Amino acid sequence: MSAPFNADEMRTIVNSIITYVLNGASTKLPIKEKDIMQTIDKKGKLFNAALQRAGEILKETYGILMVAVPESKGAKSYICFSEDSGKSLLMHDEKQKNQLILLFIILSFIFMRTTTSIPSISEAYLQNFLKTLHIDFDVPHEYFGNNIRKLITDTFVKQLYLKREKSNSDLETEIKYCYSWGFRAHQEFDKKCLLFATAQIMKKPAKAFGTKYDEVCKDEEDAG
Amino acid sequence: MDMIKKQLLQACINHGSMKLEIFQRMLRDLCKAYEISEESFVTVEELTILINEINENINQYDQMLTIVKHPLNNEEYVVFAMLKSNLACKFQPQYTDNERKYFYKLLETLANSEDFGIEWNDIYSVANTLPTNAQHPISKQRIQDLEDQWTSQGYFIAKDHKIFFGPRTIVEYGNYLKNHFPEFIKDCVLCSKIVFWDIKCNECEVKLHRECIRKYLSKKTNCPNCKKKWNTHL
Repeated sequence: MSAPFNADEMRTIVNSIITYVLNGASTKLPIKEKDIMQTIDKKGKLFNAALQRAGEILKETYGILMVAVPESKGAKSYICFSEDSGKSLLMHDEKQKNQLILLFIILSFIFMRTTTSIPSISEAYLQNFLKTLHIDFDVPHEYFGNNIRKLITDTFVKQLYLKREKSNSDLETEIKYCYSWGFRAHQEFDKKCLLFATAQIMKKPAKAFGTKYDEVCKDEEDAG
Repeated sequence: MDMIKKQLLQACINHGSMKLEIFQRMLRDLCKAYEISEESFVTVEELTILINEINENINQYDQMLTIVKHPLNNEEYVVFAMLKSNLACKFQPQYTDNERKYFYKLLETLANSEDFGIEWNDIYSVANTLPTNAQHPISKQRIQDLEDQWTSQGYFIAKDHKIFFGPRTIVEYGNYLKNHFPEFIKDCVLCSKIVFWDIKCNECEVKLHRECIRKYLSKKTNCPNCKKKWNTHL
């Protein structure tokens, strides 16, 4: 039976953790547990208890979920997102809104074009698709910014929206990359929404996309 | 209603500072989304009540939401402020040590200038006055990005090709500015709240809020500080 922690000290540590998390929230980068520990100079049982309490407060008071990133190779890290997303576009600033739109396009494309046997799409395939929408990796875009290459291959990957992996191919001498949904994308984007939006754009009923429709229905069943 | 408060909080934390009318529009969107009537959130008084309810939850974490009227453009802003400087405040993952020092240097430069403003182009020369900037200079592009970020967060406000203290700086750094630059930045003698621009007495040069001195002069005719006859045009 461990002795209860000093209430005042606990409160200070919890407040520090909350401040730390909220300060970095807008970057959407994963928060490393050891960075928090280093900054507030606390560790062990006291830290873990405070971290858990901070997570509860973030959910109860701010509606923000702080979730551990799975398979983060030794260094434990967390990402934060709203428990109830996208109720008003005004919640985001101009730049964030534009980035979310680009993500919507990319994630929809990846979702519609992947299957269980082909779980990712190649960078070349993605690049060509975006070109048809006049979005070029290496050309400044009026709406999506000056460095689309960096945004997609670096920023979105670091934010865990996209997973970018080297594709296995013994034949190729060049290194090729392929994309799939990142951990954050799975939490923030609703596949059913994307399917229905895509169907609307293509002017077909959602059921026309047989496999995908079954997939989102099954997901709903599993969750509900 | 709880969900709406949480969403409002998230938005305010994200923006740092936003115009009151945008806050109102967002609230209307949220009411629609959560199917709650927007009738009770129309006037500024009603919004203030809502904001105070949110504050009851977050004050214990050294944070607050407040409505600030900026004296330079008379626009009202909803500001999210972090009040105490605990250890974690010093860690802002998106800024380097040098960039943090640059921010404080900008505050210092603004405090020392006549109208608490500097020309937009001078933001580059301010960076050059940093002693540490020589080894790892902040690039021109980065300075521009920082300036844009800090302005959209409400720390600075742009007007007529110049940059001034923004609504969020007034709330978060008010005390810091008074403590560090007491010769330049003081409280209004009538309401004891910080005053930057507004009105100066011609005789003793003390600064007062326009509204405060106007109310005072409806009953008296002299300066509340030096007691000489007030002859500055309001």
